[in-house]
Amino acid sequence: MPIESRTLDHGRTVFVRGALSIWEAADTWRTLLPLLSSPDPLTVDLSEVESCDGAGLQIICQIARAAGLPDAAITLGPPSPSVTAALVRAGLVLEPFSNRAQET
Amino acid sequence: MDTQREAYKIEAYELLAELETSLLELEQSPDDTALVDRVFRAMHTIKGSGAMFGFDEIAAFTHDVETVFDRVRDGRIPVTTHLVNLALLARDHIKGLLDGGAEAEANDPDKGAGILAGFRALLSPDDASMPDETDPLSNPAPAAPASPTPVREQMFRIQFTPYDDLFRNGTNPLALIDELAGLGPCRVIGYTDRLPEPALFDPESCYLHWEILLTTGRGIDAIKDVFIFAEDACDLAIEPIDEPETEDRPSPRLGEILVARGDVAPEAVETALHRQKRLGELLVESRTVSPEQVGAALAEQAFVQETRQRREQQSSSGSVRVAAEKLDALVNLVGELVTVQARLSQKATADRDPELLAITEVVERLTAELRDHVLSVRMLPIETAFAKLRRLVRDLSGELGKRIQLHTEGGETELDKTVIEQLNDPLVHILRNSIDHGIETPEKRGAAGKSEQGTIRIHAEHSGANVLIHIQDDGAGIDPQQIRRKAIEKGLLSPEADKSDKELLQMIFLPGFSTAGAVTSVSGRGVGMDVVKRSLETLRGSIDLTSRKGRGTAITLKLPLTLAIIDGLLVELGDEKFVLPLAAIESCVELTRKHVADAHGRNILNIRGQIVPYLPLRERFGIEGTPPAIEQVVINQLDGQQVGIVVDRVIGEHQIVIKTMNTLYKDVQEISGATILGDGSVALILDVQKLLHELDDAAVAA
Repeated sequence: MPIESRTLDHGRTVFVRGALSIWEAADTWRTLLPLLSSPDPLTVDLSEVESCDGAGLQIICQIARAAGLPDAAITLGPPSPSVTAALVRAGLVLEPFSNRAQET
Repeated sequence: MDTQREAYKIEAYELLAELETSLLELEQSPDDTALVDRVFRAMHTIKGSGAMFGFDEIAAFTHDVETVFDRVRDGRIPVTTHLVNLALLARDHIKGLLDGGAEAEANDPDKGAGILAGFRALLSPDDASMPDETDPLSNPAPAAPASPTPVREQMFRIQFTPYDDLFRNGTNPLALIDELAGLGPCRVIGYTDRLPEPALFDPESCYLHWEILLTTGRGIDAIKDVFIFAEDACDLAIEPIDEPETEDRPSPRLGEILVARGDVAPEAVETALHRQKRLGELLVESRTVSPEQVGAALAEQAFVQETRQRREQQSSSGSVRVAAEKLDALVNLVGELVTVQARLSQKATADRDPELLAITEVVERLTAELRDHVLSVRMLPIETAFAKLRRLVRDLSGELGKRIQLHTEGGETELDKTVIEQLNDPLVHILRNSIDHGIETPEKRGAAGKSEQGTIRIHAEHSGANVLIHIQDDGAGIDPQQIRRKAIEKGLLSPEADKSDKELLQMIFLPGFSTAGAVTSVSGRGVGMDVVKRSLETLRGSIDLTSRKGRGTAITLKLPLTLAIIDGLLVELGDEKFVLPLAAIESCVELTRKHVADAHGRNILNIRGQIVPYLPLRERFGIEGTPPAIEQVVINQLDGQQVGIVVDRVIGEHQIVIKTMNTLYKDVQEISGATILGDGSVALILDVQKLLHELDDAAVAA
């Protein structure tokens, strides 16, 4: 199961696991869209994404964009090496990730 | 084809050296994606070009290694010590195949298979069952061939805007970008501005678009080939942005780039320039361009500058590959020229012909310039020798269960190629000693209040006509008393002998001396430092050692910059002429019959209150005849002590072209070579170190 949503102490957390590609994109987005639109706190954990193509990157861009909105209560967990590598290859600099890089 | 195969081998050796360095750096910085890319590219080129030039064994072997590093690039396989170990073994195996060709593989077929099994174990079952689309034997990889002909590079701006159905056509834009990256250095700028609001977002449509700045020597057709199966699913614009012949122009400015890209009208740039803020800020403020557009233009500006710098470095670092033998022949010819020029000078001086003298002066100046240039061509940075040591430290410390860090400084210091080649063994010997006996195990270091990781520092620097290499470790140091005990045990020192710590330390350079408690596979066989010292003396260098028990050991190697031509002092003994290397000479003093009488038959001289021993060369070489009433003593500095060599007459300083002696003279220790003088006669070059050691030994015996 590529995507799993759990309610933990600090709110809801969505775990994206395995491949995040064109084959999983529709299902993943269907699960994510209502959560991203909700005002409730949300954490998206991308640390277990094993591979990522262009379609997967677009979903990550949408999550990052939602997390960057002024009133957003969305937190992005640390990306997996696959996600980082795909972002670098695609020349994409996403605000939540680049902020984290500067913090560390 | 043979020439191309040779060119491939040369390039492959260079790639393997680079690969080794990159792997060792990667072990220290496993998250460095640039290093992973470098390793991948090296493997990719070795494989692709190998298949192209008939090195099928190498191509087949490298294929699986490359596959694993492709997964590392994707982040699917982590960089671990195990992976680096395997990759280093693979690198050694490829080198073995290059060295010995296919016969080597036939001799040891299991070795390669064992390494490959290790790599395959790292791949997931999915990877292992993947169809082998990139079989190097049937479909050579699109790596740059090892062509000896340089290709002209050009920079391109590629605007790649996929239609929304690109994904549904089965195309992964990242794969296309990767293929472009395989053509040369590139910068990828991804745009997200076409992504719609979440509610309107269709995850199977492509909204991302890219601009790729690429420098390649493969031409525009190679770029078009990348998009051959995607051209109906995207808008593609490929424009050359920098012609090599326009490189003398300054890098394009931001405004010029924005205008060239059609992002802004020239008038808008002019208006903005009349105000005082930075152009990018002004254009964004005036909403003429978006921040993303300015960012992309700035990235393009930086890329153009970087590419130009790289090209400048490449052209200044020399793009002509010349065989070492040709350089050696050139040095020999210059040597002949120096000799002929000396004869010409001698003739001109003897004839006192003003016109001939004027011409001779010009020839002399030009010969000196030519000599300096030719010798400088043979100079190589000492880093080439250091690079091999990193692997040694890594492998040996792992084998011995020690943690050791190697720091090198001054790798850019240049030395004659021949000196560097012959320096390798002494350096390896010293480092092996340091790792095996010097640096303690982490437990012992912890107990001694030291950090668990030991450090070895190597620092090279110029010092006049020499290069000094300092090798320092923070290990256990050498105990002079242990040396004393060992020397007495081996009969090299009498138990009553009174020796300072410094003198005791020098004893480790005696043949057969070893303080190692146990003989290991690494060192301690008693053939250590004496061999190192002899090798350095062959190079006309010297070695100095200091050590503090518990604190570490410091070794300094002193080496001449070149072995081909030296400055020497020409001296005469009877009818014979000899050359003494000028580097060790301090001064010349007269030796009268009165001095000899005052010393009561002992070969010593009082120079400004210092007692200096000397060696009468006439006596040593059994030269018959009567010496002049006033002889000359050439004072040399040897291991911090002054010692003299007595000759009949000092003729003067000369440029000496060293000629090696026939093997017939290989056992004559005191002669290091010969040279041809201006009048065509031959002078022997004395090995002062060896001569004066005899004097030392005689003094010790006395």
